[in-house]
Amino acid sequence: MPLLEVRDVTKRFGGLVAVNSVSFSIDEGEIVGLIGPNGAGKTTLFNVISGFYKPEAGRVLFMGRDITGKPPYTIAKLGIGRTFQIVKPLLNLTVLENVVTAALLKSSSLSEAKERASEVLEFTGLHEKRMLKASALNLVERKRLELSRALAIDPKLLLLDEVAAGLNPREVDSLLELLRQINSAGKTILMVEHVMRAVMTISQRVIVLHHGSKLAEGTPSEVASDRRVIEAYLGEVVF
Amino acid sequence: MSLTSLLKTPLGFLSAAAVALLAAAPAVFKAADLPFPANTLLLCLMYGILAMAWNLLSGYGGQLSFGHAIFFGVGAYTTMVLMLYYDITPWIGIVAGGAVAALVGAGLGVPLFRLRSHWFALATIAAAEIFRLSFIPWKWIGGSAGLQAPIVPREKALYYLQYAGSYVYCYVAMLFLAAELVVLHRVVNSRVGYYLQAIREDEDAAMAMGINPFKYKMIAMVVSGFFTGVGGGIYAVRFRFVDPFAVFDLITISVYIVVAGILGGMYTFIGPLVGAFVFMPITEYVRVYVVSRFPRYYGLHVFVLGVVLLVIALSVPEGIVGWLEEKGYVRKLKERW
Amino acid sequence: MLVSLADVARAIVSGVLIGSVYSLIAMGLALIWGVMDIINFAQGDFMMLGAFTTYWLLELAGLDPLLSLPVSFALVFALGVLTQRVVIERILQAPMVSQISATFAVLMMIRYGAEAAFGPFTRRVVTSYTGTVLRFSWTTIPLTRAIAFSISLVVAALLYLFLTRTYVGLAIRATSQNRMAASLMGIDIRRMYMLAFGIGVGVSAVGGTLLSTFFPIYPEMGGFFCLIAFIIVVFGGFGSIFGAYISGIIIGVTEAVSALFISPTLKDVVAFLLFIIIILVKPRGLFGARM
Repeated sequence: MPLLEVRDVTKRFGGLVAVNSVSFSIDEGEIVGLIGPNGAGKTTLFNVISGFYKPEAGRVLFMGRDITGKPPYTIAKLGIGRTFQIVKPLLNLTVLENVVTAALLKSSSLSEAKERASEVLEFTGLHEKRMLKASALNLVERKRLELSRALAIDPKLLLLDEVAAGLNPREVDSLLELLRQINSAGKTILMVEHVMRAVMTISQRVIVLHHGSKLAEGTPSEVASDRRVIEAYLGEVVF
Repeated sequence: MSLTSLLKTPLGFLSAAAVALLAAAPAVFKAADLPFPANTLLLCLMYGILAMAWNLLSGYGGQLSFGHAIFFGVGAYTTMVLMLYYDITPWIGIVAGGAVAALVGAGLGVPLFRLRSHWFALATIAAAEIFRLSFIPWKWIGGSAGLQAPIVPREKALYYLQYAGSYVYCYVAMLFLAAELVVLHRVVNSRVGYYLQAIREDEDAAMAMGINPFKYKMIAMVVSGFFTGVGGGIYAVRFRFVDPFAVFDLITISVYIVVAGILGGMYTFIGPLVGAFVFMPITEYVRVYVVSRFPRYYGLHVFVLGVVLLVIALSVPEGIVGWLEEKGYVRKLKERW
Repeated sequence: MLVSLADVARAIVSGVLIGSVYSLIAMGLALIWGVMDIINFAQGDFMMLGAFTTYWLLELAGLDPLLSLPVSFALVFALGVLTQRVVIERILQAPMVSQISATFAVLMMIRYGAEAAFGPFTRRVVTSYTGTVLRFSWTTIPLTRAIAFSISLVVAALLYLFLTRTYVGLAIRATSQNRMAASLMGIDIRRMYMLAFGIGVGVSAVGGTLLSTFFPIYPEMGGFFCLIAFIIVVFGGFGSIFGAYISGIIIGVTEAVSALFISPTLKDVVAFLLFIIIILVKPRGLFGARM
């Protein structure tokens, strides 16, 4: 049984079809990249999986259980953590408080949550900034905070929406190292990414979306040599 | 925390001094026969209770309510009705008033929490208007004339909580305020407090962390409604009179609470209480000494209050305590001497 | 209680007439919300200023309400522009709490400033045609209400033409759709906001003037009308200006018809209860636009 199964999901906004009958599945322990030109429907698909949008058609199954249209907090409790492409830090709270809030989901007490949050921050490298307000963080740190919060709810599946965007090459490397460690700790990762180098080096499998439909799926090298994929990306460069 | 360790920091010392002063004040006012300061102190305490309660929902939870007069009025009426119609002592009646207000809060939360931000705020005003309009024709509880408690013989004073002046009521209010501070402190430093702040800062982020916003807003509404109802009960026994116009008033109840909360600092624990102690003496002074001298210009004090609110909103939105925290003064006060 | 069909028909007519005035106030609220994501809590109080302008111009200068109508629009428009520049502009990016408390502060200043200046008394605008009624076989309609209804239709039509046919109107709508894009297209956002706020409160002031010809006026009157306008905007689907016009009339009719069946003091509660039901059943409003 796959960990996550997306079956013929369609999401429309008025007349616009943002996601058009997309199907794929992810097995436990995988790192899967979800790529595609701008407006391909990647973030919309994330929002459908994590319960922020209700699809017009299709099903989403998590661990064999139908989670289609369930509210986001239920899906989070079931074990899907996510980050937002446009980061959503809790600005007036400290970094630690941000993560403690998330850690409370799987903790029985506040002190346990604080411990858990400290561990996560140690791991993601934000520990020294833990007493700062989230509003004092720069964008790179805010992306780390998103990741820390998603980790702190101890999910089985992590949906990462462009966590590498805006990072310099060295920062990308350290992020990839972090993601590998997260993955080897048993967490499955589905990542939307524009930084090709990042997604191509770390993913075992890549799914390509184009105009809301699945265009291709395979290993990074298979996808990179796929003529349709190249054309789709060329189209983006030309226009 | 023991008293000796409390006194080791300036903040602890100041708090202890404030508590001691508060405890002594009503007795001193009574001995010196000073009704005005006693009355003002009671209002500070009462609005302190109200603003602290409001802050759980509006400050921590970010759901700005301009309709807390609902809970206040329901609490006041419940206490009064239990006392007049069922001969139940206000000691129980005040708590019962809180309980009924909490129930009303739960009922109102279902529709109101479907609205976000500005619309929620406006809807709370509309909801308070429904209560006022429905209580006016409600004959059983006195209709537009309201309910008045008769004077009772002195030996029954404790049972009916009926004393001359505000002096005794100050202690009653302190008792309930202390209970409220303990409860709210526990709530705020628990899962509920963290979750409410997350909801205030970003509802989507909160949901992604497994938080059901509706559930925690409801908890905040119920707790907030309870203590606001208690405040209404204290008002009812002190003034021995309730009517729909006074207890459901937009300005003198709902808005005074908001102003005290914002003035003191919404994102802080104690801010609203501080705000009430700054705001009420000024308002009371203006109302009693200025407006009564120029009755022709009735309304001017609310106009001035509007100016004050505008200045706070534009220049110190973080409030007094929030400002002190931001400038680091609070931290300094927490260090040892 | 026995209610005849004719009673219902009469109630519908009178509901449409009063509803058309509610609509004007609501359209102003919706316009401001649509363009700058701010609820103007003082909307009803700008309306009250329109009503009082009419009253004083009649008292002091003998000016007929129909002639003072443009004056009250212009005065309140100017005050709106001033409010936008002094208050609203500073809070557009502020936290919600500051936004709400600032417009609420404006409410308090206008409402109680007026009360201090004019006294809390209830006044009436009385003209030579105040008592005139139009007689039909099945009902009578007070002339003032008929005039109010006609003018409300004209103002709504003018606003529609302005927003859809003129450059400035299109620019205001562009600003409400996408601030960034509008500014990139060379639209002066700040000017659009001043215009939108000025027109928004000005239209409500016209409503106030029309209302004053058949309704007693007093400084605190804005409170009730602001709430009604708010309910109408929720009903019409947040920010949909023409949805607000239609739903204003629906609310007016609902109120008038329900007054046939329940005690008149509870008549106003009906609108509020209707509002609770709407947000339970159809939280995006009848003409569901964005929230």
